[in-house]
Amino acid sequence: MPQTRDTEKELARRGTILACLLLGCGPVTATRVIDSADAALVRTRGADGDKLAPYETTLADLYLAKAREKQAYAQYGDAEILAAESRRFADAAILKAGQRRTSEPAPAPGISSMVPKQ
Amino acid sequence: MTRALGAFACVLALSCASASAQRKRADSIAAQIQAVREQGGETCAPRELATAEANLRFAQLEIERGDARSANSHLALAEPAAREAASKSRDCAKVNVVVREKPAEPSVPRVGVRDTDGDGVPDLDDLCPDVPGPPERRGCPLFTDRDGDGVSDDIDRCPEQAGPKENFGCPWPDRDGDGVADKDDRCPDEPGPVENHGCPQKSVLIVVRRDRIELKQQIHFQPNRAVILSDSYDVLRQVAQAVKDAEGVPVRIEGHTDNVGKRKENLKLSQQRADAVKEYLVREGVDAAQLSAVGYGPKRPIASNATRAGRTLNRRVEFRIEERKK
Repeated sequence: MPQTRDTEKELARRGTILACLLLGCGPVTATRVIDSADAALVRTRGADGDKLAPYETTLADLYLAKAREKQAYAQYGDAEILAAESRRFADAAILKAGQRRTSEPAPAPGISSMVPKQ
Repeated sequence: MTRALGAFACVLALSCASASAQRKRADSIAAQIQAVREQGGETCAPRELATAEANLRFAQLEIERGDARSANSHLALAEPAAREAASKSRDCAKVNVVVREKPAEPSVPRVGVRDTDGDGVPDLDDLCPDVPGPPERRGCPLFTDRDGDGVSDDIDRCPEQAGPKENFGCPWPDRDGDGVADKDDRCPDEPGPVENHGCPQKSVLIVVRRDRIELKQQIHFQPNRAVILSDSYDVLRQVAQAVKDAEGVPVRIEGHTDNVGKRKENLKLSQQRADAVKEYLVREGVDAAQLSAVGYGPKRPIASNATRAGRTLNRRVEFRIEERKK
């Protein structure tokens, strides 16, 4: 009898793991994509994307916010799609910011020294 | 039960009507956004345009999901953003269409560069300024023939002088410059006419006979003097040559006069004239020992002294070939 009880416990444990995996597949993937988009947006802001690529940065920001909203409503499919879009816009913003930075003339050397010291 | 079904139907109908209105509203915003994009809204109003686009996309997504409330809220955000973007883009577009007048380029004085043949290569750099040619050949055509002899310059050894192709475009040499090429000139060092094959025409003024040298032109002297006139030099040179050719053969030079005047004086004049001829021949290189000069005066006339023509014939110089002395 105790042997039968162990077997049932084992089966229940495995079933629980399988159910968790099956149910958690959507949230996990969506969360991974959202995290990736979030990291890309952080990089975009670090690259001065708000100033140099405001269109793409704003889009990335709004899409990421909407993705999080969808995730909150457990609409993981939409959340994943929107997060991927956000990631795409963030990457485009980083690229554009980089291009604009290289095309802009460098600040005159020693310009900070022109600020009068208090 | 019937009431419940009726209420459900009403809600469904209202929901469908609401979705249709939202789609129309979304389409209107989409058209506005498209117009803004065409006006350069991405540059002029990037944040507003992005907000309008994103919220429109979210609204369309919510409409598909059937979430009218959320769609409405997104449309409510998209509409003012699109309007603001349109407003900013219009202002921006006005700025963009301002075209600055291009300052007139300062007129640079052009240095007068002549290009006679008009081939684009200035005459200064043009090796063939009168014939058009490509710049890579410094203005010369691919095949030139500057001397016009029919032999192109690339194979013409004398491109500046016309010549036959048999001589590689060079003229045949002509050492004496008589116009007869050396290859056709029998006398390449003496100028002569073409009819005589480039050799000078030597008029034969003497005929060497067995006993005398016959003159075809009489020797002329100054009147009553023993000075030879220059028109007789050619005859005397030929006589000299003939005497030199007959080396060792004695030749007697005889002077004769007409009978006008004193006999003694005529005799003396004839001797002097014979001596003058001998002296000339010696100067021409004839051995003096080969010559002797005798003046006969009027003693040996060959024509009548009664006529003028006869007297002219009697005033003469003769060359007699004597037999060799043993």
